Amino acid sequence: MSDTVLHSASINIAADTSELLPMREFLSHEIQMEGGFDQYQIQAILVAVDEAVTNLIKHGYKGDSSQNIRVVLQFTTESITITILDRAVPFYPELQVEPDLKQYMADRKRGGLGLMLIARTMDSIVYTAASHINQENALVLTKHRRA
Amino acid sequence: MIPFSISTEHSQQASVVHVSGYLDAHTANGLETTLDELVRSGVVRIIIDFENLEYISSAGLGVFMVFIEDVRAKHGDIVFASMKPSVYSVFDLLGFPILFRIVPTVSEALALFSVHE
Repeated sequence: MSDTVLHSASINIAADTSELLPMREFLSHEIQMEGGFDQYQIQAILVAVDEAVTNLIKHGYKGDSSQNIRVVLQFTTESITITILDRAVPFYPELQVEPDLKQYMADRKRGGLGLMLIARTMDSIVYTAASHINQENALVLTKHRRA
Repeated sequence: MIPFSISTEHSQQASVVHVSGYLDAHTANGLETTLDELVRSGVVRIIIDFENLEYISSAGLGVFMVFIEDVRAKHGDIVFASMKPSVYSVFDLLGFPILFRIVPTVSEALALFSVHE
C-alpha cells in the first residue's frame, strides 16, 4: 500500500518552557482532528515531542528564550511524523543507552529519562545535524498508526 | 485543560499533596519546592494525589526521584494515588511501577501508612 500524505500542520514556539502547554494543546488538537489515534497513542506522541522540545530549550538553547523551535506535523495513511527543527548547537541523542533506573535513583540525577521516553514511544527516531545544505537541526519522530 | 496547582493536606498518617493540571518542565519546580519544604520540615510519609493530574513528562517524574531515597532512608515513602490511565502509561513506560508504590485511591494510601505504623 502506498503511503500518501493526508495533511500537514506546523507551529513555531519560543524556546521557553511556558510554550510547552500551548504546543501540546496544538498537537493534541491536530491529532484528534485527524483521527485514527487512541488516547494512549496521543499521550505517547505528546510526551515524546514535549521531551524533545524540553531538551532543546534546556540543553540546546540553554534557556535562551529569544530562540525559536519549529514543530511540523505530517499525517500519512500509515503514520504521523513530527519534525522538530532548531538552530541550536547540535547534540546527538544517545538513544541506545538506557539509564539504569536503580542507579539513577541512587544518584538522584535527572535527565536521560526524556530520551528514554522518546525511544519507548516512537517507532522511528532520526536526527540530522545542521549542515551547509540544511540550516536547521532536524529530529524526525515517526509513529505508525495502529494496524 | 485544568490549570496547574498544588495543595497540601496533613493528617496523622501522612501528608497528601494534591497535584492538578499538568506536570512538565514548566511546572515541575513548583512541585519540587513543595516536596522540599515537606521533607525539610521532617515529613517522610507522603501521598501524591493525582486525581486531577492530566499530564506528566519526565520533568515531573524526575522530581520524585530527588526525594524518594531520602524519605525511604527515614522509614517513610512517597505513594501515588488516583492516577489516570494515561498518566500511568508514562510511569509504566519508564518501569516506575516497580520502583514506586501506586494505589487506586488516597484512602488506600493512607491505610498503607497506618499498617506500617
